[in-house]
Amino acid sequence: MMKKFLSLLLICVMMLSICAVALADEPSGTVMIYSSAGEDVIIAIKKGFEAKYPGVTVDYYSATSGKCVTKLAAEFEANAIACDVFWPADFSTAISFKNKDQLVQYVSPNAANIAPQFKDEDGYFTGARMLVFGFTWSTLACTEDEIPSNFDGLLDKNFDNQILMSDPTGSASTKALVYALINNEKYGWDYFEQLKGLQAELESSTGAVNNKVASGSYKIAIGLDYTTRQLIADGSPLGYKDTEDMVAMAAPICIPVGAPHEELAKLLYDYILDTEGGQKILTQFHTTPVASGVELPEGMLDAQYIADHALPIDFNDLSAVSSDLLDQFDAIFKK
Amino acid sequence: MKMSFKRTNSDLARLDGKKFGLDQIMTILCFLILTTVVILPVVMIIYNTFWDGSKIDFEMFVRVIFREENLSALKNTVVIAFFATLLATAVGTFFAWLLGRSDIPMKGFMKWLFSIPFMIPPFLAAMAWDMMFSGRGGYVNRFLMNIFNLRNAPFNINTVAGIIVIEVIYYFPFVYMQVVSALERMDPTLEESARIAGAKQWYVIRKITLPLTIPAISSGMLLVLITSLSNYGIPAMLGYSKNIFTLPTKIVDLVNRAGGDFQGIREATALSVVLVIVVSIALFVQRKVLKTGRYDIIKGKSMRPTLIKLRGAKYPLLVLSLVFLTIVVLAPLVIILLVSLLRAYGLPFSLENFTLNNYVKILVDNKAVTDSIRNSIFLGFGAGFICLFLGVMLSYVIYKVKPKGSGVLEMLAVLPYSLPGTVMAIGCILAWSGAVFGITLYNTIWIILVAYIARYLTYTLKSCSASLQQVHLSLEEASRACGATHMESLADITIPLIKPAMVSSFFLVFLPSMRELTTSILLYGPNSRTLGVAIQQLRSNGYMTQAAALSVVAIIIIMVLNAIVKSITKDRKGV
Repeated sequence: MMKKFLSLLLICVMMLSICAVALADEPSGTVMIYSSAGEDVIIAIKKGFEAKYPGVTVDYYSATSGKCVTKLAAEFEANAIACDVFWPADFSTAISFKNKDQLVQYVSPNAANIAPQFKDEDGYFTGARMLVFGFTWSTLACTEDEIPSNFDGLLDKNFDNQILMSDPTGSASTKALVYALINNEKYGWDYFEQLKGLQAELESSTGAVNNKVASGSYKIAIGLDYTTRQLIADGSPLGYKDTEDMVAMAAPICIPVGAPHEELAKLLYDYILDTEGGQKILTQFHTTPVASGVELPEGMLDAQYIADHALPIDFNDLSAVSSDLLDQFDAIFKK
Repeated sequence: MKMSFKRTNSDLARLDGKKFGLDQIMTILCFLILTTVVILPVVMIIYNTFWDGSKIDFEMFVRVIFREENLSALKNTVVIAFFATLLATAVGTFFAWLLGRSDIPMKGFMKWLFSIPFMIPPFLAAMAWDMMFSGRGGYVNRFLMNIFNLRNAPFNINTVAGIIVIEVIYYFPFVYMQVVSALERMDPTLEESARIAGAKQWYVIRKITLPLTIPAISSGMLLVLITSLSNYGIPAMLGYSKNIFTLPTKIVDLVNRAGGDFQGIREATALSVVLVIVVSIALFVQRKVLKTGRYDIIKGKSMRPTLIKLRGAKYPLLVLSLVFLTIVVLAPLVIILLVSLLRAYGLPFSLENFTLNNYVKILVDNKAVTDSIRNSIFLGFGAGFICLFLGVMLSYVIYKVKPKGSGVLEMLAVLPYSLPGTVMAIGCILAWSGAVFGITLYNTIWIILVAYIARYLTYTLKSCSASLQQVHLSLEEASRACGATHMESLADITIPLIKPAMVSSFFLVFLPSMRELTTSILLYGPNSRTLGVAIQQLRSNGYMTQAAALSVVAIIIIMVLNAIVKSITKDRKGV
């Protein structure tokens, strides 16, 4: 009788400990990320994360930043959050959700490697990949020595009727670019009026800008580093050049309030910021990591260098003046 | 020719020995389905426009509408839609007559060509046109400038006129498809009697053929009109760099500008309400116009209409049609094919730059792409069949049963189509995330199916009702008099008579569903990616060449399925 009881007890203890191990060490379930980072990036991160946590499946929604934002905003309105980790392209989006108390406060242990201007001081979001503006130019239409080394070099007769940029209305990162330049005494609104004077034209998105320049329709554009570098790697007739006055920003990750799998979301959040995880994966796709200490391919600038050279952007202020800024821009460009 | 008359429903129902006839059941069913599937998202949109969370708010609506740039976008929208509709109707009707009633050769080939524009995603088509005729070094422009030593590009597609021309090319098959099925089913005795009475060919066309096809022409026209009013892809691709905005491009701009702020999204929905109003006016006008002459032209003695001999005009017209079709249909297709073979986007089209790598990349080991193909085939057939069933039932109820409020039914069915895809998608998310009876379809493939049905029901409704209006009630009544039940006379008389329209209306839904983008991009979840989404994803990641390759694959799949469905429907009854 005693023997039977003991063995039963033993079995119970064993089973409980197995359960405990499973609960403590093996996270399981699914986690949903909405991302504007590009699909191949998010697939690579999914693979890396699932290899590290075999019990977890990463589902993703990949679209332009505007679509991700519209989807999440509609989910909040319908009170049906499906998103666990949200990764739009710019800070002002995250600030807008933060100001409505729609984000979870979370400071990842991996955020320590990230420069202060690339994360939220209250810990509601953290920059996770870098967007750097520079010159995207057509190797069919001009040569490398024609390409200026700074933004003011664009104001040259050589580029009359040859300049393209994305519309800040459709591209939040371009909006931040406009903000950075108009608030710098060297440029101001005057700079954009001169660009308009040179018959600079707009396209709806940074992707459309790249395609137009690649086909040789324009000589030069204010373009994004990683999308241009991707096309160059594929063999498109394009060149890319960084500017001396850098305009760079970080695309933030955050967790919406009401995320159905908040614990797993934090794990994924940490993984994306991990210099051995998500940050390392980014470099394979020509995207600059936001954390320092990642081994970089040739030609890619370190996040700390960018932080030291970039024009300042006050995203809280940008959020507040966003509408006026777009109106003023439209008054110059859409007359 | 005879004006149709109102039938006394209750008598016919009593013939069946039932108090509650088939007509009533169908009417109630129509109202029920329309309310749940179609109206709910629209109501959610309108509710959100005028309800700011605490009170009714008209002020925002007025402020948004009367903003200067929105008024100018409204003007562009109306101008483009007006001329695109006018020209597309002329071109579509001409080709329908040429292929439906003349003895022009190579009809099968030309008919096949007409279905192609539907298969090409609009942004790719616009891109192909932009590559050929862009004022900034389009291929055709450069070629002509070299030959004729011109200093300026002869064509500039980035203008309002350019947008109109591309829309005409894209939309004329709507009119063609409607009118050709009406012409093929027409009673030839009417034309023959005019000829016997001494009327000349042109006179017969003007006084007999054209008036008889008015319902088909006007329903095709309406489809072009509302498609043009709500189209985003073409004006966005061609007009953006020249600041040419239309209401849909402004609406999408407003959504983007909102940056996650739902109050901002409300401004976009307010602007969509303007579109709904414009479309309602168009519908109202169409009903008024149709009231003055409605014709039942398919009667008892049915035979194939005689073909008109073109004589000397035969070969000039053939050459003209082939040149036109080659330019408008094949040229963009060839450009897309060439881009899909390029090593990298932007390289010149020469043999050493061609590769099949893009096809290998998308078809081998790319689960996202294979998933999307499967999903889109399911959605295409699903939406096609359900819209077909609903369209037939609705048009039967609206035009034959004619219950009280049939005009409302039609209005309700057409309205969702006038909403831009993005706004419709927001409506669907709001409606199907548990707001109604706790039903949650969000992030499943079913919400996309429901959205497609809401969006494309207009196609089948317009197409079937145009055909149904030509069927005289006497046919069904004859079968009832011979003892057939209501169901039997529907199945054996009415349905077979409108079958050509049914087949073509199935494709009107199936083809765009296979490549739909604007709605699905907001609604797709982890397991419900569609072809349109997959193409767009490749494009926005910068893989333009792979996006073109996937479009070519999509077009091939659509053509194969098209051929299969056509051969199945043909076997049954020589249609």
